[in-house]
Amino acid sequence: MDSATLDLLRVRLTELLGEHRAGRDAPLAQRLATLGWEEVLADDATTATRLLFEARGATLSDADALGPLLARVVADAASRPDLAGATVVIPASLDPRQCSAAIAGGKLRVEGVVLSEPAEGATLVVPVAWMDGHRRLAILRRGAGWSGDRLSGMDETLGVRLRGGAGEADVDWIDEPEARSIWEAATTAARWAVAAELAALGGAVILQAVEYTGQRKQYGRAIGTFQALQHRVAAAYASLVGAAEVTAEASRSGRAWDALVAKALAGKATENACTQAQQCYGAIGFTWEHPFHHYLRRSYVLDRLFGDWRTLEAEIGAALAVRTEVPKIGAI
Amino acid sequence: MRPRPEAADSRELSPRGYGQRLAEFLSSDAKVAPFVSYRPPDFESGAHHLTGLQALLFDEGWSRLGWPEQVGGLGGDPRFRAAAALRVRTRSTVERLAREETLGPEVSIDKLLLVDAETAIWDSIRQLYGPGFDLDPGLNWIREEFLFSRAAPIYGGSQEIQRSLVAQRVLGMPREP
Repeated sequence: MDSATLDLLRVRLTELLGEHRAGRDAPLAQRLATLGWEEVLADDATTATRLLFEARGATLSDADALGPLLARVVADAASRPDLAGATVVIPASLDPRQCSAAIAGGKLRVEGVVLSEPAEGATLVVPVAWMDGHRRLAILRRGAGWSGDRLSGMDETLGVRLRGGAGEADVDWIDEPEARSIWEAATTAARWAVAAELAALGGAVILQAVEYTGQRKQYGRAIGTFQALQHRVAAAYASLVGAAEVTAEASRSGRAWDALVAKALAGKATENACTQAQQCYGAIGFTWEHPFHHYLRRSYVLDRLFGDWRTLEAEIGAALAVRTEVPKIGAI
Repeated sequence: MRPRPEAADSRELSPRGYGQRLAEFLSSDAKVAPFVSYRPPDFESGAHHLTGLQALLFDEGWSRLGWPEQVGGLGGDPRFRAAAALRVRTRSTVERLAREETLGPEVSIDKLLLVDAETAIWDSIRQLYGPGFDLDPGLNWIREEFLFSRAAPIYGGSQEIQRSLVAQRVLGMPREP
């Protein structure tokens, strides 16, 4: 895509996600279709997906972009086009190394998180821990007795906790080693996509803090003229730009390591951006009246999604400690 | 700061954090006591003439020092060292108050140490709980405590104010022109 096309797409996606309300509007996929989304994906799926998640982060949209992405990646990795419309159930802890489901008494019990709730009869793809420690993917349909409750906690707009069960006879299985590589592909895509969302959220937070500090006056001058605040904001912004660069590279390479590093950088940079912006806002940033807390709460939960930065940073450290050379990120 | 009543206007803010602890305080043409006028608390009469910052050191400093033991396993952690520095520093300050010494701008150091410990320890608590910290419906109370901990660098004089006080009043560095 040339830069004019990219700019146009960015503007259209930001408009669309900015006014989209899950539950009120048609699913995001249908609305994207009006933008010619399928053609855009065919042209450059990676860049288009990254822009979509960036628009979601900057607008704090609750439109489900992750669900369709996970389904597409799983369908491709499994060579199962029939799964392209499935709902991939994320482990309840949001940690991809854990599983959403287990076998007990001849039944599969599922508890996990989805960003948009699948209808009864919809196809689900669920990672399941097997007794020997192997991972399998269960493919089943949502039954009548299943429950879907809005998530509580830091950000109640994130998604739905899905609970239910199925008899083993009603489950199709994808086994090792295919299941492992499919789940790794899903984790990798989710990590760079959520990293893009986080970095864009952090960018929006910084821009709003810049605007506020230019207006708010203390000691007879705008507080943005104080070097102490300028340095906080500038350092946070530089970290975000670095995280966004690594995220873009990870999206192009599609490598697990790159996505892991991108997610760690974006989570850390965004948390820091929120911390510094909160300092700029002072007490007003601690009130319900001010919109900042929506960004802060969303950033905490996005950081957990597919691995939080503190955990990923420990993973990076452990991996580096046993290597003799610094691994590449993407092409460099 | 003791604003003249007619110059002061206050309203409660709806705080995102724990309880009703924040109020917006607007004043103009206020008389401000000189910085060195911190007076030690009058323990005999029970009338505590604490300034805002002193009250903060007692209330927030002491009451929250119990946390490092409760989270456990942080002995070798830099966050524990931050708490240890705060704990010992605060004890020194309280001992000085007990001796009825007049406290000066060096109490800003206590506040800076408090912020380091408060924010880092709460980061550790959130991490030790794992993802359930952000998702578990039963943990609303601790999330609110965590969110209130984010106010530590702001209440009682922001980090920027405290650092300027240490730089200019304690270390004698020049003020901005």
